[in-house]
Amino acid sequence: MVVALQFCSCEKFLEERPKSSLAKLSTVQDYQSIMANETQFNGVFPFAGDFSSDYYYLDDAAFLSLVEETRHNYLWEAEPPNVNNWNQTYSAKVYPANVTIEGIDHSVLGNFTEFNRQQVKGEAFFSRGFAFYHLAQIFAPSYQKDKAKELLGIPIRLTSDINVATTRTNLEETYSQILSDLHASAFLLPSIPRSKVRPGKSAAYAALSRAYLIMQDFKKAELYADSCLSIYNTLIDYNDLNLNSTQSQFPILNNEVIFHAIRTNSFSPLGASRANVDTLLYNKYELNDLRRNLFYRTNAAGIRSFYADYGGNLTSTTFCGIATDEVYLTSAECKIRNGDIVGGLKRLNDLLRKRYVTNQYVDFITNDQKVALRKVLEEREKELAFRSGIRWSDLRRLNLEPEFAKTIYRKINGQVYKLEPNDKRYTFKIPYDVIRLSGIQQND
Amino acid sequence: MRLKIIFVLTIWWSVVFAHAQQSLVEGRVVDSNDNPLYRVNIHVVNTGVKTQTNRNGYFQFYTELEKKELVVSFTSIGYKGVNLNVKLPQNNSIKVILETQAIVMDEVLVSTGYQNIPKERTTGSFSVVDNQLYNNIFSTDVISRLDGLVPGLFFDKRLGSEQRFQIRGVSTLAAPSTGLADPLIILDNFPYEGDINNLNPNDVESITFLKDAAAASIWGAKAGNGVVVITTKKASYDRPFKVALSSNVSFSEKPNLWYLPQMSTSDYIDTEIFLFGKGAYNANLANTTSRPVITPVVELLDQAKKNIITEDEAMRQIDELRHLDIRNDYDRFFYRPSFKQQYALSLSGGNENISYLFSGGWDKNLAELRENKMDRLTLRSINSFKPMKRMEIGVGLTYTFSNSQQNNAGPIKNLGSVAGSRSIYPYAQLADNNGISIALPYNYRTNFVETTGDGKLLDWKYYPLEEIYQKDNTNKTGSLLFNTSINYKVLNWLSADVKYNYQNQLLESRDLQSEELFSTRDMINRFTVIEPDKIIYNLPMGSVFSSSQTTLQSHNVRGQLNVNHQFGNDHQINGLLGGEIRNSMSNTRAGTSYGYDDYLKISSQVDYVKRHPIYASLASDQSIPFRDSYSNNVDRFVSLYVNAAYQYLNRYTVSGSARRDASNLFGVATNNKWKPLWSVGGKWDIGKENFYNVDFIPALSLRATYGYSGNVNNSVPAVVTISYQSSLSPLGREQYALLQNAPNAELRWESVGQFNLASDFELINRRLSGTIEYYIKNSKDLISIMDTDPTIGFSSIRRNSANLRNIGWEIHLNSKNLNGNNSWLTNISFSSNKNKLTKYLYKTNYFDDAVTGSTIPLEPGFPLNSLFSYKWFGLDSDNGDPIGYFEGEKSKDYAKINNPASLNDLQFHGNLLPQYFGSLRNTFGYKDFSLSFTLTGQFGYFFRKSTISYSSLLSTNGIIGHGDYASRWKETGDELRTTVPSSIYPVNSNRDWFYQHSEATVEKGDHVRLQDVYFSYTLKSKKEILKKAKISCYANNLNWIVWQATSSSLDPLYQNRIPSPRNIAISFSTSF
Repeated sequence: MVVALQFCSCEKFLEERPKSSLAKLSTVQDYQSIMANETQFNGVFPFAGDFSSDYYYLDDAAFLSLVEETRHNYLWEAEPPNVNNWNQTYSAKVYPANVTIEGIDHSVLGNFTEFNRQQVKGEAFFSRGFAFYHLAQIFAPSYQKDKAKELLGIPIRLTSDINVATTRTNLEETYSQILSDLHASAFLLPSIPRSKVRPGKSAAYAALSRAYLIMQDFKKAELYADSCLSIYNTLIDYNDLNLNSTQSQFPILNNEVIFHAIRTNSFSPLGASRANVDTLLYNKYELNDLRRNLFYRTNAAGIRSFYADYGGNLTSTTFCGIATDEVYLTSAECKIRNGDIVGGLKRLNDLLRKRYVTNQYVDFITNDQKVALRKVLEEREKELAFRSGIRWSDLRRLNLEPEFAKTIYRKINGQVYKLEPNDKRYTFKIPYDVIRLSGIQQND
Repeated sequence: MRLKIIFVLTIWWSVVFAHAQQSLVEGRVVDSNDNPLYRVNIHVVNTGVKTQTNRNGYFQFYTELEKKELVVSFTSIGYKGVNLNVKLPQNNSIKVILETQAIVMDEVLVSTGYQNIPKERTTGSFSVVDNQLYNNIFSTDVISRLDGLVPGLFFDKRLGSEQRFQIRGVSTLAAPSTGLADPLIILDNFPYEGDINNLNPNDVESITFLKDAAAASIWGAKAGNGVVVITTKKASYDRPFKVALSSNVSFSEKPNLWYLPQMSTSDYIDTEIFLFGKGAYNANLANTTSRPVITPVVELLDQAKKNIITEDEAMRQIDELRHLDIRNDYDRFFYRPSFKQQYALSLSGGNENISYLFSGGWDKNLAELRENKMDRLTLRSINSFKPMKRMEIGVGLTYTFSNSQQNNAGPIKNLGSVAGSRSIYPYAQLADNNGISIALPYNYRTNFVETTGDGKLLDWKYYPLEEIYQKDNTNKTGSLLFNTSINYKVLNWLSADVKYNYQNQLLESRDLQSEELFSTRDMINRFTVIEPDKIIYNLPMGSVFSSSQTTLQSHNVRGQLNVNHQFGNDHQINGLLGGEIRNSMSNTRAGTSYGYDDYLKISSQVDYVKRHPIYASLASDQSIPFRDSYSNNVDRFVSLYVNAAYQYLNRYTVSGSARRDASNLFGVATNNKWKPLWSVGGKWDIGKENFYNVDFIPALSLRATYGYSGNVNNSVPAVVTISYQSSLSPLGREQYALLQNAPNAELRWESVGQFNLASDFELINRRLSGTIEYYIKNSKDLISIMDTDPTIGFSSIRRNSANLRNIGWEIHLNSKNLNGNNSWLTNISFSSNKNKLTKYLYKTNYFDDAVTGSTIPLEPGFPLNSLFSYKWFGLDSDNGDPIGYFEGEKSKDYAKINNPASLNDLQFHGNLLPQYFGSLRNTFGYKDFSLSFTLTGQFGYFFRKSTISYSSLLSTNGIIGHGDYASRWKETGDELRTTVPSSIYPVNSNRDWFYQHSEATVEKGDHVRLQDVYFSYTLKSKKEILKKAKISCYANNLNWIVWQATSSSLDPLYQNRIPSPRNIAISFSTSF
């Protein structure tokens, strides 16, 4: 009889959680708590592209103090970058987003509302799409519409099932997934998020405009950049900042930030004690351009480096989220490319007015589309230098247009290294462990 | 219903007989279990009447009334005969109990936790430690006494635990620290959840080890590491009132602080002078932010350099420090000989329906570290009674209260608690010649704490000797154990049991850090802001009070049917069938209050959120540590089990068991949680066969068993779980959670299949008896780390990914060399255990880990605890560089040597744990004196001795070097006498690592030691109170190595750890 009793009740009896802080995923709150993990969704973004970008250089001593992997990364040696570029993006973003997307629809509301459910789901779609976007900038070649079906993209994992084997998609599939995730998130997310560490429609539109810009779909890129700005378009007037302070004037979650995110900062050559701003770039800032002093300072060792991280970091540049200045520039570029030179230059002038000493900025006006485009691209380089996740993609996409293509150089121990436009090294090799354990095809 | 009828009939029957005629003599004959005996021969000696009992054991006969008294004898084969005088006329029916005639001289009862059965009738592998042997040994706890008593039982003392043991090797890859590799401990009938140190060894009756599958698989999914069943003393019926009393006192020496070789203070000071010359301290001397500790020698050198004092004066003061040794101060001020007292009293007795036992025990231990101590009080009450003839009810209650104080953390390692603190220097002093406490530099440079703050801060000096007397760090444990059981004998061969067990343990810890303690003063000072017009204390004055409470509760209910039936003379069956359900919960809350006043019991509010400035910019802004936490764990089990043995003709036995367990641990659907485990076994008593006539082996039997038990590794759930974090997310200020694990629907419990083959025998007129066992233990589906494609979201996951095989044999021999007044007994136990990882899905390209001797080898084919070394080619005669081997050639490229491409580039020595071990105990008796001593031996293993690390010595941190420093290579020719490389600067940590992990630092562990000596004297006084009194003396941890394979001065049992000091215990016991 005792035995029989046990049988009846044991189903429920054995359902009890073994640990109080542990939960099986069942409620909307559980999923929201996953998505609230800032380390995963607002941190550890990939960094290989920035290590290889042209806005900075290292002296020999700084170069030699780096670990071997970072030295390869800096000199564009055809070696995989640090594994975290790959591993953390899949483990800290794609996997948890998949867990959320798979389970959120079946979760129990509890004290939450349907609105919360849609929001959490939207956040997961945004995080996955944005993660795929970043991976594609490093491990897949630049997007070219006519070749996109032949070129290899990145593995697109849409399931949390660890038993499903990893395969590489083609570039078309990669980008269409990025777009579909970001579109889904734009549909689900509220216009204004709870805080700048969560995405809202504004962030989703901005991310879409980035993706369409990379895909050279300038119509759509313009549309989404403007959609973003119609929700949030605050710019900081740099005249309001303390130009003489030795402290950073750009606190974390500042007014221009739409979505806060930072990249992994380990192994970094980009610390202020090492990374010199590229001399040619520095010389492009005019004397009455406030950025010249707000962005750059020279330290005791003579290194002129960047001190204006939008992530509030005092010693290194880490911000790789989305801010309004980037969206202004994307909108300006696309309007000009789409023929609306007046509209485009208005965006540009609106931004630059807040970057120059009050009343010293003269609006840039031209009817020449080429001139306007060249101007907006130069301003993009100046405004978004040291802003992680942007310059590398810009180099890659602009190299497809011969007139903007650029060969970049490094010099170490007297030897000059160069990376020519569209070099296959613009696509990084995949970490060896990934190839060994998954069997997917390596980039050449 | 049927039971009732039987019951009524029984009463009716006796009524009928009570009214029999006066000339009738009648009664009943039963065995000691109240079973009726059939055909017992009854012979009335003085009348010649003969008769027999009927099937129900009843007999009657008529006799003439002339005789006033009859002498009646009762005899039956297999039972001891009884003669009775019966007075006539008979008033009451007589009841005669015949005791079984002991065929086996010492019948051993083994307890599985589900039943107590004669060892004879089992097929499994059991080892029993009885009360007598167990109580010769002295210890406060129940476990550490078992070392060396049982074959197959190995105590791993390398890591400093006296209680961690393995039964027949390791069966799982879970780290020892997780507790998942520990054997299951059963107290009486149920798993013991509480702290094993709560048990009083004086309450222990016997301990049974369940070693093979047939023995252990009854415990199912928790039995994979073996099972230990502790049986406590019980009350018996029909016993007169008895008092038992014992008292033990034990003393241990101070630990030998000089056991581990250490470089001389003078050598250490010379390295400081050398480093000062190299400018190694310049940065620290110039540091005006964190102001790190500077040692007195470096301060003097700095003063001389700045011409504050002369060079000669500095050297004179430095030379005075050369004769100091901090170990002298530790020995004098931190340590004392430990002193332990243990007292136990028990009262017991019973009549035919009630039995009782009350016992109490009190322990008081003064530990070897001053101001550390422990008291324990244990109270037990065990009662049983029979409200009806066929029913027995038992109630037991045990209460334990212990209080331990841990105020002395022992030798100081670091001179600071902040990041980057330097280590202690060997010429540090705890007190001056008058015994007055001396401050040591701690966290900050001395001149900073002496001059800063303008008197507005709390004293910022650190007095290590004061600390141990000012601490208030105690743990209190109260534990309650309640047992109740009802046994009803449904039929003579069938009984039903219901048992309920409740355990409740409350652990309270308290750590009151008053302002007298450095850590509190330091914390308050760091959070102090001194402004021109005011002082802000961001951390309030007062004590820092940390406390925690853990409650552990468990409920167990078990229902069981027991069968014990004999069919005719040839068939014997016994078995059991039952189910149990168990729920154990632990609940912890912990917290820290600041500005606490212990007298008023009030604390102060602090701002945990804001980041406060740190005094003098010693560090960047910090928030006050928030340390409140809560947690709750629940373990639930439901189990069904069956176990049966059938014996034919007393010589053929087969047994089988099966069990299913389910638990809440894995969080998967219930039907997947059920884990079936089973065993089968057989035994053949060859010695009882008719054809058997080997005279010098009068008894011989063979046993074989095979079966499975399991291992619950609850560290890995099968479904995705998340873990909520105790703090809010830093920017969004929201609750957040971590995804814990990969989903793994295929997750299985680890299973351990074991084959056991054994023979029990007796030789030479049964003077020598023994057992030989051989086993193969295959652990399957062990949970371990496995590399995975990082793209799936995990670069490694814990899965059922390894198999392990243990093979071993055990010999146990008891020999009665001499009997009688001069007795001599010898007990020998010897075991071998070898294991091999047979499958391992983890792959690595980095083999530098192999030399660290981690538990799990990097490739299958090697045993757990494998020891690998870098190949060694001596020292370079030119400069004393160690020479290694890389890609087939001698090399000094240490970075490359240290990262070999495969295990083949390394030297494989063998195992870090002994593969053969045993003990030999001789016991001599002369009249009332008894003397025994035990030799233990461990063979077939290696250990790595620690050695000098120049990179940790020749740094600003300056960790005191190893004694090998003195024998280092200094000039050409030294390479012939030493393997210790020369000292070089700047240091090369790869060179150090290579030498530390080369063949040159490996020693053989094989040795034989005298484990203990026991002496006792039994007083045979006529005084009632001293009738069974005994005085005994027990000495252990003698650390006397009789033989060892290496010439190293290190004791292979303790290796690089200070040995447990010599201990002597004196005890007195009596009962009346």
